[in-house]
Amino acid sequence: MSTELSQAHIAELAERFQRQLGEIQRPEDVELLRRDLLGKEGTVKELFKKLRDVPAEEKPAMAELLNQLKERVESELDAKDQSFKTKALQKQLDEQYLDFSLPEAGSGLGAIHPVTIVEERITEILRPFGFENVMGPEIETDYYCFDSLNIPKHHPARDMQDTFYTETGHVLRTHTTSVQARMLQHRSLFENGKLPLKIASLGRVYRNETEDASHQSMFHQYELVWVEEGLTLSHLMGLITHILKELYGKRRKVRFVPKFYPYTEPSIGPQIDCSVCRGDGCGACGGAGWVTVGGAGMIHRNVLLEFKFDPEKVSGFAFGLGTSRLAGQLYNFPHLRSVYENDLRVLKEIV
Amino acid sequence: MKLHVRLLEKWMEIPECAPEAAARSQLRHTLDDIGLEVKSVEVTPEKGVVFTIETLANRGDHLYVLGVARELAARTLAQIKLPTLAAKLSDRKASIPVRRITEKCPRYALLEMSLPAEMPLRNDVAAFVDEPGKHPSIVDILNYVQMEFGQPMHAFDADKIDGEIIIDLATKTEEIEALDGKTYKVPEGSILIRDRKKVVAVAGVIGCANSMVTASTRKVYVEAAVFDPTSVRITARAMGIGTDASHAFERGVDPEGIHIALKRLVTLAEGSAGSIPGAESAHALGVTYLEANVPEKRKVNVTLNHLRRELNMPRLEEVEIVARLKHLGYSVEATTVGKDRDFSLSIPSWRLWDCRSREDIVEDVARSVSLNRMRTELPALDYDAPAKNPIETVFQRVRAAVLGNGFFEVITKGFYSAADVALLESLHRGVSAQHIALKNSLEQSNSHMKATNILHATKLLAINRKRGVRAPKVFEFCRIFSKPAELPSDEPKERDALDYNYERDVLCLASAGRWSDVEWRKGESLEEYARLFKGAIAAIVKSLGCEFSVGKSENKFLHPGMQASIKMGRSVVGYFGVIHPTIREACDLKDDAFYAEFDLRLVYKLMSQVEAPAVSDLPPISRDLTLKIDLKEQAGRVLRILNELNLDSVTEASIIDDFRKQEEGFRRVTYRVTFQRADRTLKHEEVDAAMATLLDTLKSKHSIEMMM
Repeated sequence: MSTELSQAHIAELAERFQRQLGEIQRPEDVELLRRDLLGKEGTVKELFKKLRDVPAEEKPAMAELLNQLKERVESELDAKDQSFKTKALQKQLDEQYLDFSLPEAGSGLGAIHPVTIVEERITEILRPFGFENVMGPEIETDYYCFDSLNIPKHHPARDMQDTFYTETGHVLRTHTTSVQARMLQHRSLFENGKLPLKIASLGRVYRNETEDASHQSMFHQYELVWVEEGLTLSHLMGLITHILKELYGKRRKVRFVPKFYPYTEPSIGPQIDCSVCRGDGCGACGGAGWVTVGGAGMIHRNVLLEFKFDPEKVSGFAFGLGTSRLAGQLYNFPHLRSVYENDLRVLKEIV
Repeated sequence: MKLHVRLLEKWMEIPECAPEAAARSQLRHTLDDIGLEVKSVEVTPEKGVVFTIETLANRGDHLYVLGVARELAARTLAQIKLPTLAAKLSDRKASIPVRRITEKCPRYALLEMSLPAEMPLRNDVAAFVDEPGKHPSIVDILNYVQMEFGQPMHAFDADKIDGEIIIDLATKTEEIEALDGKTYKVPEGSILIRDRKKVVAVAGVIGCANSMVTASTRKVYVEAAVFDPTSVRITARAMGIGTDASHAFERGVDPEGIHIALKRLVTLAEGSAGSIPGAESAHALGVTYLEANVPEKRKVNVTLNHLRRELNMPRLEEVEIVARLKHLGYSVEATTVGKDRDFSLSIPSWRLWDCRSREDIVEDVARSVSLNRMRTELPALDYDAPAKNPIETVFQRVRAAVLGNGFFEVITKGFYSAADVALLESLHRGVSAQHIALKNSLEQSNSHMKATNILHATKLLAINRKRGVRAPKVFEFCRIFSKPAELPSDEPKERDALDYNYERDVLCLASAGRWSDVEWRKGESLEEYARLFKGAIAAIVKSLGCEFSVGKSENKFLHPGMQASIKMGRSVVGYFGVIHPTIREACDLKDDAFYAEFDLRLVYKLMSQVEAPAVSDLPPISRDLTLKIDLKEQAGRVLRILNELNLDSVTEASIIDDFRKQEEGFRRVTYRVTFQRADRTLKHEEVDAAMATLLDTLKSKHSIEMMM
């Protein structure tokens, strides 16, 4: 290259750059050419050094030509570089593929049992009323399970609840009503008879039965108890109606029939219209059109008296639901036994 | 109870009940609504509509037609037309003496009656008895009268009775041959009917074969009585027998019903005989009555306002209430007290067994008015929601950890079999003595309360593996039971949460197969699976706001070399590991399986609120060190030592590799120690000095050396 800086020289360099740029096939050659031209000792840098030898009157024009050349080189090299990157990205995009239709990995999500789902739903429905979920022993004494609840020995009502007896002289609780007895006693003995008492007792209960599709020796109940001054049967029926409509839907019909439970008086049986026939009568409901969903009543005065509450001043009600049966109805289990099959194939469907 | 609608129709005007639509008839609806729930409906050309009714356990008066008619009449206010009764029984006494020695028979009547050689059943009786003609007609008539009036009666063949009738209590166990041809042992204390030589009936339960009426019987003694309900019940239960009579006596029969029933019996017996022209009639020859300690007639008072308030029916008219109560058999005296009306009610004789208080009256009025006419009212809301109970609280906290790791909640039984107990005893000597046995289980599989949930969990894994579930992972909040060496007192006392005499709440997890059901590639190795399972345990503990670590464990039901205790902070709250091969094989589970059990009482005491940690945005510096660890040493123990050295600036130590060369008798475990301060950036020289101190401490105090 000539040692002198001239317009022809700059033009020749520009022409050579254009030729070399056109010959580039690989992205790394872009950087090589950039270094040859714009690097510390590159051709363009060298030409800038020669500006000092150019006569003063020509220097501005020559400097402008050089700057134009430098900008053009930079710009076109950048464009070339970008074009390689774009092609490479396009190639990558064209080649790469993930088949997301293949099965996912990982644990998957577990689920809670239908009985627990039902319990949680009822608890949520009851929460605005201030019910406390309380627990109690499942190995009980005769006293809490029967005697204190106005079910003396040899009363026909004991036939309603075939009982397991343990070698320790206890019974397995046949109903969660035993927790009601314990809570009433606790309030009486240790809390100076504090009212209101608003509790929900839920959990496993036991019946000594020969097991089949419809009879299980262990199942679940949910019972609520409210003791306070001024409670009446109509409050109980109002609360039950509210619970059942929340559980089953506002359109379901609710009715009450008289029942007998030794620990309540009056005793009532809440019923909803049959989910299969909607009240017309079918095999599922024995032609009645109605299905009993629990037992309820005003707490018997003998039970209140047993725990030193004055039935002339306070009253209370209790409502028990068979949560196992409810879970069966809500999730279409064919039998009570199916609720406790613990078939993970089924439980997964409920997630 | 079987209710023949045709029979009921003879007594009163009833709501509509066309046979073709009996199941949905107005009568059925009304019966349901008054508490006589129809469980099934049978319609035949011979008998018409027959409802099977589920009667209430306290109402003996619902077991017969008249009782049902009274309840219906109280609803419809229809009049009941009683059937024809004999005007008079007899002026004479029975020809043999009757002695009542026990007070458990408040009333006893013995009717002596002659029977003609031919006594075909009247058609209107035969239409309603089961298998008419199978028994002598007098027996069918007795059963029919019980169906109508609820009074059980029993006929003795007079020629087989020796001298007198004695109502007595058994002083020892007696063996009898009953009318059904079976032999029974009658317990001491039972009410017996004897003659001078033998037992002729078990009172209220069943008669004996030795005095049975046959087709050739020409004279009978008919017994109509009131027996103590509890006594009859105890006897029937002990004998293992239930008869229509015992069912009625257990619930209490009408003390005033004896006369009516006997008169009806005579009417029907005489009428039957008279249906054959010129034939001899059946005759009442004499009747003997004994009575004492008859239940006293009672009165109950209730006010109009009380009834209106309880039913939430402020406009319920006095006249309606009184009319319904009268149809139920109450005598009503109404008086004005201030602005209220007070009703003094004489309880009818057939309700003396169950009706005692004003709540019974509220119930009767509600039943006759219809519960569904009442205006319901929602009680007041209370937004001061109480605290959740311990199990709810723990469940809420660990829910994401458990479900997020893919575990499904299951519910298993509270008991298992004697064979299960024996299996556990083979692994843990003495454990069978801690089990609580059930004395009367009907199912062999329910003979003992479960003392651990590992058996149910393993069986559940096995059955689900057989169902084709590749990754069964289950959890359960359940209760286990054990018997302490000294039985605790049942006296009431203030207790801590989850504090029971024989029970413990636990959270169990179990899994087998592979970790992920949806992953189709190669399954995890046992080591990988163990770490995944441990990860789930760690997530549970951390979600309870506690530091997780493991310690040594010696649970007999887990593989001795593959188990660890679960620690929350410094306290052991449970254990986990590989289920013992003996249990696995006994439960027919092919794969290795994992099991964990948390003691929820301990968990609840130790759990804490998760607090936001102090966070530093200054750069941390990490150093890795590989330590020589024995083959059966827990690498986690050394990790705990590192974390507990309390070296300044150490924020965390963790295990990042566990390597063993085949020929070496130890493992090389690599730990990463991270240093960081919240107030300034650490210098490398400071970290180097800290590491030197750490290694020195490990070597001098714990004999743990770094691999070079």
